[in-house]
Amino acid sequence: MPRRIEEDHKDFIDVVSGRLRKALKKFIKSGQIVRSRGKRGKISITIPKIDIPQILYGDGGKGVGRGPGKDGDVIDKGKKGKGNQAGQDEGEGITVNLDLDTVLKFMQDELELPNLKPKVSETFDEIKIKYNNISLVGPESLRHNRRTFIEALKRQCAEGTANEMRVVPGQKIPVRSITPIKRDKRYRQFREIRIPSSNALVVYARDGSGSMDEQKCEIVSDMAWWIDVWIRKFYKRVDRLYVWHDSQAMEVDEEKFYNYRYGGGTTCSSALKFIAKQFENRYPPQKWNIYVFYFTDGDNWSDDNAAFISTLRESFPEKDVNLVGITQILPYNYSNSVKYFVDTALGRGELDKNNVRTTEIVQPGQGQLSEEDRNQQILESIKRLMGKETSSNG
Amino acid sequence: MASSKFFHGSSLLIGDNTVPGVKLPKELREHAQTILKACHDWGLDFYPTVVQLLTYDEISEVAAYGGFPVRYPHWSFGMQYEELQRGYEFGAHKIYEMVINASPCYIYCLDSNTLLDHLTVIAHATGHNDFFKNNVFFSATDTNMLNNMANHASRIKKYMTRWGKEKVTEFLDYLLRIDTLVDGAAAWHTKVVRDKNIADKRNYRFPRRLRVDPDRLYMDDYINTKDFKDRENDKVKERDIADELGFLMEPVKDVLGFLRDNAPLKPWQQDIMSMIYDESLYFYPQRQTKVLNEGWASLTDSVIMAEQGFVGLGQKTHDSGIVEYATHKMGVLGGKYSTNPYKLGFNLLSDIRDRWNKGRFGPEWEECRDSAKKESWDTGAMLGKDKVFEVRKYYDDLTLIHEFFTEDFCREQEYFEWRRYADGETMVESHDYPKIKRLLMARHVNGGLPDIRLTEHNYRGKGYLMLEHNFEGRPLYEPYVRDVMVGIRFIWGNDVFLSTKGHDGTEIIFECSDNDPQNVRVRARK
Repeated sequence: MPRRIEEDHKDFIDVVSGRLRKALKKFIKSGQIVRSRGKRGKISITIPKIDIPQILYGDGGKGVGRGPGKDGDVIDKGKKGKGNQAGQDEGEGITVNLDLDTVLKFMQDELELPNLKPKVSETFDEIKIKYNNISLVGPESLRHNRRTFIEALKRQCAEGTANEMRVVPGQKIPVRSITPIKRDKRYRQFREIRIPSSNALVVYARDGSGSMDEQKCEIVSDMAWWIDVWIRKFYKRVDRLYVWHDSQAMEVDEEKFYNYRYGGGTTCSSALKFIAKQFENRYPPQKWNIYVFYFTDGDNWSDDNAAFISTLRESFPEKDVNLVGITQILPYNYSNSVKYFVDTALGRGELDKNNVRTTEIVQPGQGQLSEEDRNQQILESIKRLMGKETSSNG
Repeated sequence: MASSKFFHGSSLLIGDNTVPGVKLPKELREHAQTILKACHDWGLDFYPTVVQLLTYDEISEVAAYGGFPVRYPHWSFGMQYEELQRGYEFGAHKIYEMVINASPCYIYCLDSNTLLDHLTVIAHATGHNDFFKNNVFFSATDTNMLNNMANHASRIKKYMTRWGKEKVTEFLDYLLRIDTLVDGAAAWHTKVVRDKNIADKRNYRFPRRLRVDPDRLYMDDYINTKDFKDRENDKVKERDIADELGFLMEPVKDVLGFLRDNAPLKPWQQDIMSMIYDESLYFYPQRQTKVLNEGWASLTDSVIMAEQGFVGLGQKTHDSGIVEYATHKMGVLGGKYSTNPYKLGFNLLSDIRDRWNKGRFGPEWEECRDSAKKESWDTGAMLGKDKVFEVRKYYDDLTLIHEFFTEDFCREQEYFEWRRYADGETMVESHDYPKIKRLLMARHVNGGLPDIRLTEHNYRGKGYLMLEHNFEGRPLYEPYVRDVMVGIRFIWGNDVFLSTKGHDGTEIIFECSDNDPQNVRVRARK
């Protein structure tokens, strides 16, 4: 007997997921999601307590207790007292742990991010063999009996011998029989399935000059985390390369990448040259889907800008690199910044719009960048970098 | 099935095919009979009993449905179920038993309980059973509710197939928000079946006349004087005018009943509303007598199990179960300083029994100011048992606390008043007896829920609904008020107003003219 409660319980889950969808939408829209990196692939979201609202008393802040206390004794120091009715606390709610995949799917809808496409590649990750074909020749052990007999039946029907009665060994009276001959025989045959390689290399590079302060590094970290999650969704194997540069570029580990600061000069092209060098032996572009994300605060040695553009053009063509994303964080001014030069080059058609994209996180006219504004801008930037082409030149 | 051979009057039925469950073990069958007989001998008078063993899953299901095996489909039951399941998984709470007020009375026991737990639970539940049968506040409830609920379920299911599940569920969502706005006294009103064939729907009022003995009709002019007649005629006229203008003569507490009769509803909506109304009235006395009911059941099981020594039933020695019993009791009532309402009920009833046993009542006791004399007061009246039986028959929570929460009791049980300050600290405010009593009683007025009354159904002459909260010092929980008002507006089909008071005692008016709870306006009235 199916239990009656099951249907009601299912309805309740529907109500919960309806509310969840709303909460998640708000969570992503408001940018709160940027700050919450899930634990073990789960992201927890709090949805308001679900209840049937009824007219109840609020918390009057008074009550009756029992015990040996004297007048004036403190019996509870916490924020929450002994609530006398349900739903007193605004913050009370149900915390739901969601898979990162689910959240990403919502993010995809919400930010209108398209699926990433691996570039056409000659290398194959794996060649699988699957017996899903039929052949006229083959070993008897692979004979496909059903197909064989169907062929025999067809042939006999065509010949007009299907209704003939024959004496079959073991049978006393003549019976109709289907007798395959050699050309009726069909054999199972394998087919090769080639799975194209789905390796991705994500290169994070950043300017390491003294002007990249803690706040900017944090923005880099938040952006990189979500970009990483997003790319990982589409590739089986993702390698990461962290490149840090002042006037010279070098490879660093993840922790150093987000924290290390040094007040040297700034030569942006050095990072690009360093990355391009890695393509020669370590990550041949034929075998890897390459994503390059470069973070800067827009400061560059003024002689270097031309070199930056030319390196970008020569070493990062569309056939080699899937995407180059350049993020400029809190620049002092737009003119003479890295983004300005790249945008001009894009506008003149010197760079390919399909694989070079730029975005910017800017300070509001005056004062500090507010938390909400920061998160929204980060989401917007991710959208500009990974989103549809139309929004590429923001 | 098998009826008891031990005693007349009440019988024990074991198992029922219509509800899910586990078979009762044989030893429990016998011992259950013994416990019921003991209850009967102590003086309880209860409905025939069906004892049913359920697994935790099943008991959660039954509990989610409020004890009834069949209820109408609604997600809120699923929510209850989820909560109970979670609570059980995390070990936060455990349902030992469930009893429902019906004849026969169903007692659901958790199958993983020990034998002693089972017997305690049966004794406890029999206390409830007896209370349902005898307490005056339950006298108008329908003992056939099990079937009624099933009928409601099938009717609502029918509407769901006819009008769509979403539509009916939406209506139910709104309806369940106001199912507490009923008047418990309405259960005693005679139900008027309206005859639809009569074209003239006016209700004629007749002026009141005092009764005169038919043999002495000459006295009529002296009894029903001209003044009196004029006054009564005027009253009728006033009410007729009020009817015409759409005034209510007095605030209506039975808001749900008023809406059922007067809101512009479709027939199926009206039918659902009358079902929800009946169910709501059925549950009303249970809210009203929570403390006394649980107290009474706790007293019953403590008398049967501990005082009469049935803890030894099925155990190795006659008293080997007492520790387990005490632990169980502790779990149910909470520790020494528990503010659990069940504990309050149990303590009050125990105190009453003790006082009437020792004759500590009446004017002499009240007037006695000599504490030493009071300490050793014992007239040997031994009226305790009679008194508690009387209390269980005629009292509800409010009257129980009003009459028996005495200053001595308050001091002995170490009650105090606390207050929470803005910085989150909770402090002991005072040990002042009248204040504590007032707080406790306020908690049980109207079943512990705010008293909302309908004052006008044609407010501002535009057919708006005006509700008024009978403010007794505790403000309402605002977010819910908004949602509830949207619900009432949906049913009434016109704007709804609610007047109440804020923390500082100023009058505020909620004004709902939209389907969005956020758009409910709040105004302060000077």
